[in-house]
Amino acid sequence: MTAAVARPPRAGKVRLRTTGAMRMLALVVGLMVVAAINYQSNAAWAMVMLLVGMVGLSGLHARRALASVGIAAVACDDTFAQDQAHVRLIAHTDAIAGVADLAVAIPAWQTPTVQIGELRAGRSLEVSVPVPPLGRGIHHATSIRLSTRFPLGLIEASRELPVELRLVIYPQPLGRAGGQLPDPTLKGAGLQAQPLPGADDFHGHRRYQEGDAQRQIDWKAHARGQPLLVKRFTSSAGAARWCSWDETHGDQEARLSQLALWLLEAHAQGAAIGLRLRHERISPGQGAAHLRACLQALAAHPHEVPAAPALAP
Amino acid sequence: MSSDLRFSTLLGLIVGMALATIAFSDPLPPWIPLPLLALALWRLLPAWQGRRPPVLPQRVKIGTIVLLALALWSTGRMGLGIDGAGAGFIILLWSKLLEMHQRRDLHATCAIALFVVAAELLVSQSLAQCLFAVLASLTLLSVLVQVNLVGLVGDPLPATAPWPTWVRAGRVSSVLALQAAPFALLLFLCVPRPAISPGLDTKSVQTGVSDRLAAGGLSELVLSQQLAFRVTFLSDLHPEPAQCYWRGVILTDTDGQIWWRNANVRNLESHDHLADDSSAAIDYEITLLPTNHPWLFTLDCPAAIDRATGSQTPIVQRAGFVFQCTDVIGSTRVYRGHSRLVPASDPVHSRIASESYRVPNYRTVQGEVDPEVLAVAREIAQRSQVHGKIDARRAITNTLDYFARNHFVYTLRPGSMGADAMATFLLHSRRGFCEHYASAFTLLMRLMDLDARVVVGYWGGEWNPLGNFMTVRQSNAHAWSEVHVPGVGWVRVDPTTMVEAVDTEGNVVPSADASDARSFHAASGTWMARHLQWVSQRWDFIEAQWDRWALAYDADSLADLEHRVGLGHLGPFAPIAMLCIGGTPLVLLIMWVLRRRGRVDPAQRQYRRLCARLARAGLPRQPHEGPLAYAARAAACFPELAAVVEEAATLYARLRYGPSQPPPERQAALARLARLVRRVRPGRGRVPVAGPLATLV
Repeated sequence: MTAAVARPPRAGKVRLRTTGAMRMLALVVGLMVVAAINYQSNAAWAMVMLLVGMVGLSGLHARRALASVGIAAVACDDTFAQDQAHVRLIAHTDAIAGVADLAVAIPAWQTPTVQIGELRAGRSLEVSVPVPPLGRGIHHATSIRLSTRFPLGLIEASRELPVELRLVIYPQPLGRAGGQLPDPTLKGAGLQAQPLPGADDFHGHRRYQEGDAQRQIDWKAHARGQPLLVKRFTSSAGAARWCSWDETHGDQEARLSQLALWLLEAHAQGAAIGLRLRHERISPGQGAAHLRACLQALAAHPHEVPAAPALAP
Repeated sequence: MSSDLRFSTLLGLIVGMALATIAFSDPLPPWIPLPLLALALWRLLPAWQGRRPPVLPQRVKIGTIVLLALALWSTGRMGLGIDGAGAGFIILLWSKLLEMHQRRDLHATCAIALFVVAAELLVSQSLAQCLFAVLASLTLLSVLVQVNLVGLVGDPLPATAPWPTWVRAGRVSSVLALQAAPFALLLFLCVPRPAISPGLDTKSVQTGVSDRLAAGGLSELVLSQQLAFRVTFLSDLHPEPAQCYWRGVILTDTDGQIWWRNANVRNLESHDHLADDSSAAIDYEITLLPTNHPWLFTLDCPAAIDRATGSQTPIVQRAGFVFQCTDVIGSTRVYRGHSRLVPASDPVHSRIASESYRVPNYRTVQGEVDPEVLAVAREIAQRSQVHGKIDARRAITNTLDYFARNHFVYTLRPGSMGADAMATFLLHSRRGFCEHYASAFTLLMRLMDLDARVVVGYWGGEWNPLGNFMTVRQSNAHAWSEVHVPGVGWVRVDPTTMVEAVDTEGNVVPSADASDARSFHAASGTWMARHLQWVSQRWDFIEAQWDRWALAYDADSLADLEHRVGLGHLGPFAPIAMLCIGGTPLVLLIMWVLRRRGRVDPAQRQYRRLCARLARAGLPRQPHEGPLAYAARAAACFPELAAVVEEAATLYARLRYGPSQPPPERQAALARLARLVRRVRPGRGRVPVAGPLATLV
């Protein structure tokens, strides 16, 4: 939270450039000019001047249209390395005339340009920009590029808005299953994957036995025609599992992918998960937020620096 | 979602292409709409049904183009000039429909279609043509706008949209054109046209009277309503149309049938000038449409001539009071003339005196003449002798008598004349129109050993009371004769006025109107004819201004404008200076217009101002914060402004999100909001109060 920032950063200037269609039209207009001079036709000359004027003005119109567009909100969803990452943003304009043919891209990540289309006055539109595969890690971008080719498609106005973007890409879960270690504080056999009864997290059903609390009966399942079932809960103090770096094999990325798989697996089984890396250790915890924190730690793991080439003697 | 181009986009594009093709339809054969319509339907039907058209192999596409090209070439009308190029572009244009899937195909098609529209303007520059060209261009450009408005592909838009897309696109392109029009005018006036002409396809069609007169040479011209030139008289007095003989070119040599102008006469400088005379002097200005001939038309008899604007293109005088330019007239020209009006009422006494009368020889006939014609000439010469020598005036009167007495008839359809047209005309059929009479009369004069020549030009015109100008059309083309009377000078004789006229239906028409074919029909005076004339006069007036000011604008006019504005001394930099001086206010105007289009709702603007002020003090609004929450946070940070900020935020929220209020209340609320925002002036660089703020993080 930046409470003491002096001034919000200014949006970049609107830049104009000609499109390929403009070059084609310029060629045709050049032919018209030659023909008009050759046949001494004032009418054709006037038409050339009108076209030139219209194209020039369309650049000004595009510039005006873009100057009023802003980004209201941005969200970068965390994704795995082999899934499609998206950046969701909301564009809005306050200008009375609205904007047409708006397109959005994130230049730092070389995303494709996504057409938003038309943005009417006072409205917002949500758009999702697909990000090409960037690999594991935490990626930053500092600007979003807005562009438009309205009205004639011959001159493109573009502008970079300074927005802080942070995209976290987790390693793709790959590897063998079931390599988590039990919590060393709970020594003793037979406690490997057994959830302890507790009162916090729902963990499935078991048959009703005499003496169970009536409050824990799942009446809805009974109404559906099933026999009396009791909901089971586990407590956060139950079966912590450790995903440890030392248990993994292979190069760094393979190890990280293995750890990610174990984390997901353990979380799906409802256990508390802890992460032990070479220089970091996260205590066991439960819940989606804890899982996210662990995965982010994996994502933030520094990349291998390639070994320096051996110096020739 | 349909993956093909929208139907409305395609339809708009095809309409634009059709307009461009219609404009250029003159050289195209009449069966051409069929294959083009087939192509259009082939592309439109799948779009209508929402599916993609079949993808054709490359061979089929190229084959279609080649087939169309061969078909057009076989009609024989395609030359290498603008007709051929335009037809080629039209084939390319419609064949592009076979491969129309992406934005760049659309842009290419529009560009080619715009070129076809411009190509037609090279040939015909009338006002109607220009307006049609504007319509076609706007249609094509609004297709581009439509693509940028709603995208290239997709489902048809819901019917609940306020206006159909093509209406919105048309509005955008029209507004763009209107805004661009002043710039275009400025560029048109100030950008100098390069003096270098590439010289392509210079053998353009020649229109109007020519310097070679064969039997039947004027017959086609007389039936055409095409405009020749317009005349504005610079003094209050304007002569009757029947008195206006417009002198074009003289024909000096003949072989008994055909008349032409001698090469020496064509190239030799002449210094003939009028003798002092009591006949009225008239000044006039002529706007001459391009003829691709070098001579200019003047009122009989011209004393002097000069350019209306500038003096860069020289006008030279040739024998017989013929004025011509050094180059053929390829674009609309404006020039001024000073003439003495020679009355037509008395052919014998009307004279054009000249000071220097030199050889070339106006007496010889370079071919065989029918002996019967010779006999007629000898017989007239016999009767015209005075004191043993032939008297020119008597000869003229007697020859005219010959025409009158022998029931000669003026008609536009004399029928076929055979090999010896003169003999047939003079002796047998006795039916012909102005060129027959003029050449026959001049031939007889020469056979009587008198100097005589044929003059070709125009006679009469239509007076337009709305604009005070006279319109002379090709149907006014005329030929008359001039005879040299010793001691007097050259005398104009128009034998056509001596005979009765017979129109196409065989009715007799007063001879004064004989030269104008159109008056045959206008004399009927029906309601339709009168109203058509009312409309056509007004249209002619508008078109006259267009021709005079827009089409005749050339380098001379630019120099004139520079001088008038006072920048003539800058030389070649004058156009740049004019562009800067004229362009700056226009640019500022356009920026102001655009800024108004980008203006924000006033309540929004005040709120933005409030946020900006608080941000400058170190408290920017988070994107997710609403106005009330933000105001609460600001009140916590700047306690002395708490009341103001909170009231401003409440007011803004009510204005923006609350129920709509009647305008007076809304105006009052806006004014109060503005006042409140002005009072928000937090100190710069203040660190916000810690404590409660931390929990908001």
